[in-house]
Amino acid sequence: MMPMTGPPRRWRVVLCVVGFGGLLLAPSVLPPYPQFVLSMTLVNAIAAMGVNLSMGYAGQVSIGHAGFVAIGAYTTAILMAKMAMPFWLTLPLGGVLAAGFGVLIGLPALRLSHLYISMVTFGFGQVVGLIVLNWVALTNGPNGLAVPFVTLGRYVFSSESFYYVIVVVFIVLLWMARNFVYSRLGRGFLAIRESEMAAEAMGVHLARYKAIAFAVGAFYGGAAGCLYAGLSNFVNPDAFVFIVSVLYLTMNVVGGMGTLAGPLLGATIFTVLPEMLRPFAEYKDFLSGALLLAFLVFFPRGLVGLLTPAPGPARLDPRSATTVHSAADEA
Amino acid sequence: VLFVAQVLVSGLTLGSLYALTALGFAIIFRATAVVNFAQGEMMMIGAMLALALHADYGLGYAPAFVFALAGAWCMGVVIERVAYRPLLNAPIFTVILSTVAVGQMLRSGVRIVRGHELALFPPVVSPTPFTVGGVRLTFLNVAIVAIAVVVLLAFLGFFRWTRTGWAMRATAQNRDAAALVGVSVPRVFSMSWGISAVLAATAGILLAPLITITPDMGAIGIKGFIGAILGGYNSLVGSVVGGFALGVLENLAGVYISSAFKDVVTFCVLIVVLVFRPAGMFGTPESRRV
Repeated sequence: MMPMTGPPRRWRVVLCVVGFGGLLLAPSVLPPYPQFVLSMTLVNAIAAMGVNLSMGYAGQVSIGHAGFVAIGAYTTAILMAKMAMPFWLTLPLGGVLAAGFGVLIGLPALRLSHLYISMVTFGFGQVVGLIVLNWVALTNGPNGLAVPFVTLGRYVFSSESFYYVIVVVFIVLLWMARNFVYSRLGRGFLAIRESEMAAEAMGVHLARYKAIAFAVGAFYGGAAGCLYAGLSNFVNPDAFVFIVSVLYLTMNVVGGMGTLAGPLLGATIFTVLPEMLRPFAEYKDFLSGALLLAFLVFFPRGLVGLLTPAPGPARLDPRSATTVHSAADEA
Repeated sequence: VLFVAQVLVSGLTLGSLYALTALGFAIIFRATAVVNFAQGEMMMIGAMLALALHADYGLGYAPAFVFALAGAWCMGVVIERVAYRPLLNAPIFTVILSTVAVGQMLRSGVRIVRGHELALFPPVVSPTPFTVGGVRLTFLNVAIVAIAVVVLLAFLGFFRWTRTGWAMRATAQNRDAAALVGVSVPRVFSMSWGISAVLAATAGILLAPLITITPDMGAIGIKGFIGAILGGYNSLVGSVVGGFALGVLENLAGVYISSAFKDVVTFCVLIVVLVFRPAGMFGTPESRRV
């Protein structure tokens, strides 16, 4: 699926203007709690975009992404709470630190097949969770850490006004992801996803590209973690368990992996739906598992795939396809 | 020396459970080239079924265990039909995700049915310890290791000496060639997932008296998977040896490093093995073919 497909340019511009305008105006119509849910949706969307960049575009399975989010969140929490560092420094630091771990994970990925990468990323997610839980001196273990309010000069952000910080970071990261996907690197990612061997033969530096794929995905995860810490003013290990990693995957699969809109759509559904299904909390995990399975089996291209025509041969003009065939037959 | 022996005993007890799960992982991997992330949940299902049959329906231990294993077999076969077979031609990570989805459905499904209550499994054999040469043992330790070893040997024998076992190994080597010589490949898929589920459930039932039974106890199944990687994922014997080795290693780490970080140690073992020798101790390295 090439990144060039999608709605016509004019519609995309309209969509962007309406979307961003809506995001900026939303607080004036939304009560505080729904606004908090919207903030969480954007944070989840950033983490899901990270999974999408390394998995949907570069084809590198990541089933421990909550580990990267945890690194970002705890970097922010620890630096702000214990060293009184400003949020504006911990945000890039958390992202970069997560990206560093992403590179470490990406290095062995050069030699390993999908199955092994899935295990490495899974193991990584578990290790981060366990360390966060057990290194009590640093992370305060299961009791979690309180995060000071984010300030800018004299101004102290509330969770309502912090929303705007999240919106700005979200828009910047979305714009970066879009440019990234259309860039030389992004095309290299697609080549790796479709066939590693062919990509290598065409001159894609596999080791470098895979390491970058993990680093970029991890950076988005780390940034999401930092924003989460700033938004909720509290971090504890429960927010970064395996089920959260699965949720990020589910957002992508249901929304449409390998598309820019997919993770946004998925994050919206899987942040808002649990809030609406609160009385049926027991069924929510079961439902998201069932949705994940159903989409994998029946709609592997996700919701975005349902709205756009199938890529590849199915979109070819049937007449030209027959011409090719008959020409081949005659030859 | 006595102390080390004590650590070895508890290590082997755990290791035998890991070995059972590891063999289950390896069987599915060899037959269908998929990592089953729902294996730990099958372990949990085995323990839950046995508990429900015994405590709620008043069956004796033996029938409860037999029915629990039969139930696990059926679930394994159903999971293969629902979550693997339709994805035969899908990219490999789609299949991995589908097993993750199944695991989540099993976990939350059990939680819906049984709630959050913690359950203790009534001990089958006397838990009172006795000492042999200064090492404290319980009948439970001995029974767990003995049963696990018998089950493991039975399955390894099954692969070596029965026609069905040959068919499964042939499928593992080359699916198309196996189909050409008359092996029913779909049947092998069903068998593999069924057997793997039974192995996991056996481990779950053996584990049940040692810990509290919760919907999340499947997390321990992951240890089986690390054992399998340590030993060599594509070797059946290797994965069993790896399971035992991991149990011992974990207990040593618990004693000599820190009991809070012993799980971190095991996961680091996983990552180190994958980085330096992905094929494990006994596996054969993967080769890439054009």
